[in-house]
Amino acid sequence: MNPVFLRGVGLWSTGFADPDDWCRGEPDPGLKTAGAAMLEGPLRRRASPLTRISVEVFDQATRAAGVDPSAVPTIWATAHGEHGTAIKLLKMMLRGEGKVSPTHFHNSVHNTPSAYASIAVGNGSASTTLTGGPELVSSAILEAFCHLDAGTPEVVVVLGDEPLHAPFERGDMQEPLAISFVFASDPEGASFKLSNLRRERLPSIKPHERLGGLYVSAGLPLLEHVVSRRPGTIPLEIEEHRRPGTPADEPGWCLDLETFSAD
Amino acid sequence: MGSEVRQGYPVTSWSAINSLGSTTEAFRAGLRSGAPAFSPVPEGTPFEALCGLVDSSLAPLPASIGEYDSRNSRFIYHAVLELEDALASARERWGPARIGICAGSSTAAMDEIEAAFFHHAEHGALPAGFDVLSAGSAEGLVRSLRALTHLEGPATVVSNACASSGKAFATAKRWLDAEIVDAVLVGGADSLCQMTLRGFKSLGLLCDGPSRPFSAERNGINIGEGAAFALLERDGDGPRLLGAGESSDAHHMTRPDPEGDGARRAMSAALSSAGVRPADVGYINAHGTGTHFNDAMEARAIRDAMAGESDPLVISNKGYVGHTLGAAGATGAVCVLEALENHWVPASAGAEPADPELCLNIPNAAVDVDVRVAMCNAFAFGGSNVSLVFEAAR
Repeated sequence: MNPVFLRGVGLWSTGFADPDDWCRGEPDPGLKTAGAAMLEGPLRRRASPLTRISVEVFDQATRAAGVDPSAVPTIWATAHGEHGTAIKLLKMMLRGEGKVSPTHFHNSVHNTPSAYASIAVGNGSASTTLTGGPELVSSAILEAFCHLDAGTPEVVVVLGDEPLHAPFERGDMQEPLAISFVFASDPEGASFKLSNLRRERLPSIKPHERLGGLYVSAGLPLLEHVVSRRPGTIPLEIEEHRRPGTPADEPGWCLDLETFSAD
Repeated sequence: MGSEVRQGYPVTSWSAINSLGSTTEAFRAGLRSGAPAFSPVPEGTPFEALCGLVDSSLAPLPASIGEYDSRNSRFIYHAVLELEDALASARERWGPARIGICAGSSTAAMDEIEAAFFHHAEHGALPAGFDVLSAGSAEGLVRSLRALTHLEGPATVVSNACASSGKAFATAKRWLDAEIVDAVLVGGADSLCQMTLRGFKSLGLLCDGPSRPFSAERNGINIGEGAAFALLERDGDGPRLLGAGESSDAHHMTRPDPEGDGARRAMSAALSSAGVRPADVGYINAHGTGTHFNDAMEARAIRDAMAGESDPLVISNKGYVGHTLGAAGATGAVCVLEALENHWVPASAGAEPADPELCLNIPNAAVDVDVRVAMCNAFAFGGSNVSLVFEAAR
């Protein structure tokens, strides 16, 4: 597989409006809702929190990369999808005749953020939404690299999840998180080269205290290395996400990040 | 692009379970019979309708992986059991680390979430031992597939609503093209749940009786459930996956683009990816939900994609088993594989009298025909489209 170049990143979490804010580590206590300026009118009114944060980072990363958001193939990854919307539907089912809202129903599918983004900007390109467990982030990046290997010039990956809602809540998922990367097959305009996507014994990463239970948080090491311009071997899985009993030497997905100058 | 890519990838084994039966043989016999398999919606549903239910007596998962047991994972278990010999041969040939898993699911095990939520509402606590990550999510699907198959390559779940398992084939093909793997277990599963039934009811899309895709008298969908899987390998014997095309409508969350442009682009991209012309296509297993607008849109898209070069047989298997949602694309792919392997195309159940305005070649009885190239469509909420092209074994 050929090397891949990284052109732009995006991030939103409660208190953190973008990747630089995140890496400074000082949350804004007033920041509770993602701007998601790409969404207008009914789309904006109907968008769930997960859709808003996902579209927000899609917007951030495509702007940073100078990529046309209406023409780029996209890959979205979410472990629990529109869980909050599903809980609203379940509550409706308990009331009265048990009827559900058609809008909430069509907004409950995992590809809702992708659909809202594509409708908002008129993007008719292929878009795939992935879900699953600890391999979620590596699966999304693998999918992106395969698109590039097949000749697609650029592809956007959006990782997004919100905490599980009651009665399924967990202590290690307290805030939502969305991260986005724009990958390209051509080095022009890029500052980072990614290569050697592989499985090997993972470097140990301490999960984030409040977000570590979100599988998409496995995308944080890559984002943090990029923002701080630190090369290295980047894990795409976090050991603690694995089930108890998984052997410590079980290989996981990782890749090499190099800073890069087109000159 | 190497010669292997131009030749596609053989599907060396496949399986399907749904309301026609709990084995692929029963599914095949049901398609040949031309008779649909619908039953009343489960008790507790606050309205009357028909749906495509899988036999509820399916055995649970083995005790060693009982934590992943759910209705959805039982479908997977029984579909994968049929592929056991083929998977053993593939593990021996390629090594377990070179075989991936790519499954599609939309609701995954939402019925488990529903049961746990209602239990909590009544008793103030989740059921003892309930783990949302094991039995109630796509993670459980991945884990149970790994445990059942002992495959160690990349594993993921595509969740693009009703296009999920069709798109899983496209992802699997990309993995093979990029030489990440040498084989992929690909398919999908979805189990019926109240949220889906009530949701489609709220959208006014459920029909009064059996679903009748492409009929002049069609009036909606029956929801179904099931699983379908296939083993794609770098080389071997069997019909071949030649190409895949994907697109987005960028139009509306539930209404298809009435011009069918997104669907047409997916079909044209699949033909281009496969290196075949519309004139080569002898059979299309359509998405064919049975709603007025979806069937009209798809008919227009098919006519546009065929560009007057071909008038293929067009059927929808949803007239037999209902709309199996995340499993629909893979179920349609298995219909195509069966047709290519056994040299017949099933009737489009319920289509009689066919809607003349659709201008499609819709068979009202099984047709014995030696189709060489066939196509399978799957479309979804959010305007997600995928089209697959398969070729008969040489």
